[in-house]
Amino acid sequence: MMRLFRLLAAVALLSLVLVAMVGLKQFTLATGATVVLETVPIDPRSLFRGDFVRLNYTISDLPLADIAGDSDFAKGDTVFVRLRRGPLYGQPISLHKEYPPVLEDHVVIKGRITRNPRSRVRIRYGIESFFIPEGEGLALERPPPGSKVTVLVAIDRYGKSAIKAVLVDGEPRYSETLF
Amino acid sequence: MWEKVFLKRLRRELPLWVEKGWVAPENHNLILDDIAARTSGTRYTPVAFAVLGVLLFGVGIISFFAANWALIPKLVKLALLFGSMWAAFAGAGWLLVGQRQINRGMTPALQLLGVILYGANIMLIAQIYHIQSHFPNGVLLWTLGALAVTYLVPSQIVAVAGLALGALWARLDIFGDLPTPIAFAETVYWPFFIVLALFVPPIIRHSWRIAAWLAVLAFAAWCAISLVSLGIESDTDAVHILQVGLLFSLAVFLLSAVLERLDRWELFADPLNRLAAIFSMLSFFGLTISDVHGRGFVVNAPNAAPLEWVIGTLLAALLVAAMFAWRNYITRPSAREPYIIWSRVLLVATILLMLVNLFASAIISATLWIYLAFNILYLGAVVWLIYTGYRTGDRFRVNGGFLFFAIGLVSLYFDNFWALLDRSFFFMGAGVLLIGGGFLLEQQRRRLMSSMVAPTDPQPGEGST
Repeated sequence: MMRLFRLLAAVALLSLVLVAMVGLKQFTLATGATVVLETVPIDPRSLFRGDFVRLNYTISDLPLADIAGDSDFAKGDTVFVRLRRGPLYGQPISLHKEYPPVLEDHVVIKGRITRNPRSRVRIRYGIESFFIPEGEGLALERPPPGSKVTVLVAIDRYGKSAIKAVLVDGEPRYSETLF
Repeated sequence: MWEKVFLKRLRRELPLWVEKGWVAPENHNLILDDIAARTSGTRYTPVAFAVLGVLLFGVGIISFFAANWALIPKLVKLALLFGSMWAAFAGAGWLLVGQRQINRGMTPALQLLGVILYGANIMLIAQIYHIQSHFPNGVLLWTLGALAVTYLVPSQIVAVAGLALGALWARLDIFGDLPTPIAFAETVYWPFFIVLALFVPPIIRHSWRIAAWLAVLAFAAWCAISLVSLGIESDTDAVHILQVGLLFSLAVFLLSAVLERLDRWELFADPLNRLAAIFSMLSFFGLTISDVHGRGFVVNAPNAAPLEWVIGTLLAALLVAAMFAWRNYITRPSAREPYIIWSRVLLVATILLMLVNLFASAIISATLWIYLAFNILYLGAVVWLIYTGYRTGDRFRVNGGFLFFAIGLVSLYFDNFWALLDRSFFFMGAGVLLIGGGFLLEQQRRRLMSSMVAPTDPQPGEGST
């Protein structure tokens, strides 16, 4: 009987890890403020993880001279980027080491610096890949001329982000729903 | 498998023991029957079949999900992922509760299936929610899940899977994704050592021999990668890396003799002994190459060792001395056997040579003598290996000794005759050396092996290493 209890404990532990993975993302999707980000899709495939689009955002590569806030960063640092919700896309306003005060019509997104910055700073936000049904990758990688791919992102109060929808010319192509 | 080897050897030896009067004739068959009853091929067969079946079933489930993935709503996907994992563990629990007859192979197999599905769930949930993270972290999470199951519901097959996953995680984290160029980590990769160490207590507690072998293999790979990483990081010459590698391997080799006498650690003794012997001989062989000493194509003498490598070499030498003392204290080896005396002489000579080399490597005139001395000691180590293997009935040592002798001979030929002989004569000579030398060596090896009737186990309190 003791072994059965231990087995149940093991199952509970493993399930807890998986539930935490689901719960943290659902929290961001359910409670996060939304902002549209401009993208440049690149490099589409991974043998291990099925079809996915790798997304590169305009806010992934920021010129340090043109952006307010802190400036002394190193590879691996956690950073917070304040974005103003523009008419079309979110615009980066300032870069911080700590979570900054949030102003009206602003959102703060958390990221991590991937290279030692010189004049520009390269940031990863954890929303750089989007899994899509197999065989549909090309439509997003190479949209027809004149089409624009953007991403609707939910950002929670801690700065964590999750993709809510992939938009083509402002229209949702893939949408994430709660469950 | 090992039991079958033991039974085969026993069948060969028993008539001799009966003839010498050590075993009563009427007990001959009783002993064989008893051992045969206890050592049957059925011990691992049901587990092996169950595991294979489980793997096939797991692949089938994952393929089914994959084929229909896009059509399934998110909530159903989650229910399928969690449900399949829970079902596997529920099956294991059902077998455990009833202590059912088929549970011998099926319970661990179902636990393994649960762990496999847990890993698949990590990857698939990451896919459903577009979780972008450092990819090896997913494998680490999987490894830790296997570790948790290993502790809570002990099963060797899950421990083996966990160790393999841990090695995969370290491989991905150190070297990056497969298509990218191989680049070593800049420093010692301690996280893997910690994970590896966490697997050791259950392995010892349940005397899992296969898991012990795998853990030692992973430890050996980690040591080798760490040493090379440290060497690259400090831009050190190969000779200093090889010296520390040899000393550390010798320390582990001596440690294995100690572990042999420690009840619960005994199962690590054999794999550590064999792998340490291989790594010692490989490091020793490396030190016999002329380029390492700046006497071949590389004509510059090695640079003096950086201070941290001087300290590292001295510490490694002290570690060897400490292990030697501990081993002598525990095993009290008999001094009557010549190979015990030879081993001491070889060990002291090797350490002294390395210390001389450490402080004289920048003096060009000394490199020839150091190079020659390493070659002589290497030859001594090879002969010692073959002789102790012969005396103790250890075929692994005899075969290993002949192999390293052949490697050393070929290397010596390439090292010394490449520049001296015309290329055509050089290759003809190499061919003759390989054909003739190989034939003679194989003949000697077979003769020696056939004369090894039975292993002579060390007397109580007498070590063989």
